[in-house]
Amino acid sequence: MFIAMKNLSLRDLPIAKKFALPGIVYILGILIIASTVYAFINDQRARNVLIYDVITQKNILSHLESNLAKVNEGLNQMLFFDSREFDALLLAKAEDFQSALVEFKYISQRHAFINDESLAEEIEPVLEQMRTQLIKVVSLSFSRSLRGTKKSYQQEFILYANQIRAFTNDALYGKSELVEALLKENAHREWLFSLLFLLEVIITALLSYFMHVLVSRQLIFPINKIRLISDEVIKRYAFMDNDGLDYEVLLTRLALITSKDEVGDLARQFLVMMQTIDHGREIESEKKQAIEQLYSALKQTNEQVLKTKGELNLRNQELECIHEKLITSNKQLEQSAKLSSIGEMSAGIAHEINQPLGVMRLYTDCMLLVQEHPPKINDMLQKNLIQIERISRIINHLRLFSRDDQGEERETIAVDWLIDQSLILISPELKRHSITLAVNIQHKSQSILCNQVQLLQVLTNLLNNAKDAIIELESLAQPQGIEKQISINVLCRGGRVLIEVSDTGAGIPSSLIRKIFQPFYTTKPVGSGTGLGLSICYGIIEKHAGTIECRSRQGCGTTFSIDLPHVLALSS
Amino acid sequence: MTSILIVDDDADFSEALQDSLSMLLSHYQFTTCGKSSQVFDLIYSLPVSLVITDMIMPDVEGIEIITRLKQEMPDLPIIAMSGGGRVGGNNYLILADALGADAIFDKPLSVLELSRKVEGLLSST
Repeated sequence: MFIAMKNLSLRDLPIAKKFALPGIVYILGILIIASTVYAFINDQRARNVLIYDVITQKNILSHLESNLAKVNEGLNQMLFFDSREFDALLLAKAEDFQSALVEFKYISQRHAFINDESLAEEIEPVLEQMRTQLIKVVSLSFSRSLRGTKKSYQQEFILYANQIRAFTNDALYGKSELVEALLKENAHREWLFSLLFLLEVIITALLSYFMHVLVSRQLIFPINKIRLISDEVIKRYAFMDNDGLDYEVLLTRLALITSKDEVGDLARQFLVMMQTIDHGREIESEKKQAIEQLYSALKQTNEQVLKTKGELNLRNQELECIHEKLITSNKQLEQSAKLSSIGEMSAGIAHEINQPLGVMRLYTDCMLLVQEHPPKINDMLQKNLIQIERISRIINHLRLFSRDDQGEERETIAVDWLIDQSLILISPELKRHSITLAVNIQHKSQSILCNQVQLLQVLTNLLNNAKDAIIELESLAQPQGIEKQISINVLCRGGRVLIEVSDTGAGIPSSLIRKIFQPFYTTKPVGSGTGLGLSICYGIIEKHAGTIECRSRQGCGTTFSIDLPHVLALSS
Repeated sequence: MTSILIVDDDADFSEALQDSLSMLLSHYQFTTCGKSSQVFDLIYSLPVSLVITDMIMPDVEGIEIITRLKQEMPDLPIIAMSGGGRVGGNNYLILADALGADAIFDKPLSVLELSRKVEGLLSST
C-alpha cells in the first residue's frame, strides 16, 4: 500500500525529480549518519573530557595525597631537622594545595555532572586551615619564632592530613567509580553508536537501492512500452518489402550503440525502427508516386473516356440522324414499293384496259368504215378514235415503266422519239399549269445507245422536277406572275449528244447544288417525292457513259444537262 | 366451209372482233373460242383456215398454241394479238413473232389493217 502510494505520486514526477529521490535518500541517510557520528563523537568527547577531568581530579587528589606526604616529610624535616630547604617546598606545596583545590573546584564547576560540593565544602576549610597553618608554620619557622611544640604542629598537620586523606580516599574511590562508570558508558555508547551506525547505513543503502529500483522501474516501464511499440512498428513495416533495407548501414549504426541495457536495446530498436520507418516512407513515397502515376493515367483514361464519350455522343447523334434518314427512306421506300407494285401491276392493268379499248376501237372502226354517217356523227366517231388512241398511248407509256428488266438491254433510240415519249404524260400537266414547253432538237436523226426505260425515267424525272420548280416559284412569287417555261434543247457536239432541260422555276441555292444528286436528298415533303429521282438519274447516265450536270440560279431557273455518246442510227 | 378461229378469253372482245371482221370480210366464217384448252379440239373438228389468237390467256397460253400449231399444222396461218404484258424482257408479240406467228397486232388494233392481213394470208395459201 505504502509502496503503491509512493508509486502513485512517483509516477507523476518529472525524470529529474525522480532521479533526485535516491539522491535525497542518500543525502538524508548521509546527514543522519553524519549527525549520528557527530553526536556520538561529541558525546564521546564530552565524556572523555569529563573522564579526563575526573582523572585530573583524581590526580589532583592523589597528588594532594602525595603532597601531603611530602609536606609531612618536609614538615618533619623542617620542624625537626631544621632544614631550610623545605621552606620553599612547603610554601610551594601550600600554594599547590590552594591551586589544587582551586583547580579541583574549577573542574567540578566545569562539569555539572561532577558534584563535589560536599567535598569542596568539607575539604576546603580543612585545607585552608592547613594551609594557613603551614604558612604560619613556615613563616614562623622562617622567622624562628616557632612556639609551641613542633610535634603539635605536626600532629595538627597530621590531623589535618588524616582528615583530608579520609576525604580524598573517599573522593578517589568515588572518582574511580565515576571514571569507571563513565568509561562503561563510553563503551556502551560506542556499542550503541556502532549499532545505530550500522543500522543507518543498512537502511540508507536499502532505501536508496529501493528508490533506485523504483525510479529505474519508472523509467524502464515506459522504455519497455516504447520497445513494444517500436517492435510493433517494425513488424508493421516489416510486412512491406524490406529488400531495400540498407542492412549495411543499419549494422554499422547499431554497432555504435555499445550498451547492453534497456536503453541500449531501445536505442538499437530505435535505429532499426527509424530505418524501417525511413524505408517504409520510401516505399510509401514510391507507392504515392505510383498512385500519382496511376492517378494521372486514370485522369488520362478519364479524359480519353470523356473524349470517347464525346465521340460516342457524336456517333449517337450521327446514328440518330441516320436513323431518321432511314425512317424517312423507309417511308420513301414504302412509297416506291407502292409505286413499284403499281408498276408490277401495270402490265396486267395495261392488258385489262387494252381489252375494252380494243372492243371500243373495233366498234368505232367498224362504224366509221362500214356505215355512212352525217358529217357530225363522223366527226364524233373520229374524235372517239382519237381518245381511244390517246388512252392506248398512255397505257403503253406506262407499260414501259413496268418492264422489270435489269436495265442491261441497250437499244439505239432516236433522241426525238425519246423526248416525245417523255412528254406524253407530262404535257397535260404542263397545260394545266399554263407552263409553256419549248422543244428544240438540232438534228432529228440523232440517236443514242441506251436502255429505253431508263432514259425515259431520267427525262420524266427532269421534266417533273422542272414542273415542280415552276409551281414552287409561282407559290412564292409576287402577284404579277412569273415566266413559266420548260425548254428542252438537244445539241450534237463532237460525237456527244447534249440534252438540256431548263426551267424558269425557283432554282437551287448554290450551297445545295452539290447535294441534289445525293440519294434521299429532297426538298419535297415525305410522300410527294422519293428523293431518289436525281440520284437514280445520275446512276443511269453514268452507266451510259455520260454525265449529268446542274446549273441553277435561285429565283431564276435551273438547267440540267445530259451528255451522252452519240451513235449512228441503224436503219430501222 | 372453213372458218377463221378467234381465240380470246375476253368474250366482249371476241364478239366485237367477230362482228367487225364479219362486217368487213362477209365471205368468211368466224368462230370464237373462249377457252383456249378447247382450241385444238376445235381445230381438229372444224376445218380452220386461219387462227387469230390472243397471247395472254388463263388456260393455255397463246405461246403454246402457236408453238404447237406450227409443229402440227405448219401451213395454218396464225395471227397473234395482245393487250400488253411481257415475258422476260420481251413483248409477247415479239415472242409470238419469233415463234412463227404470221402477223402480230397490238390491242387496240385497227380492224381495217387486220382484215387486210387476213385477206392477204388467206389468198396466199
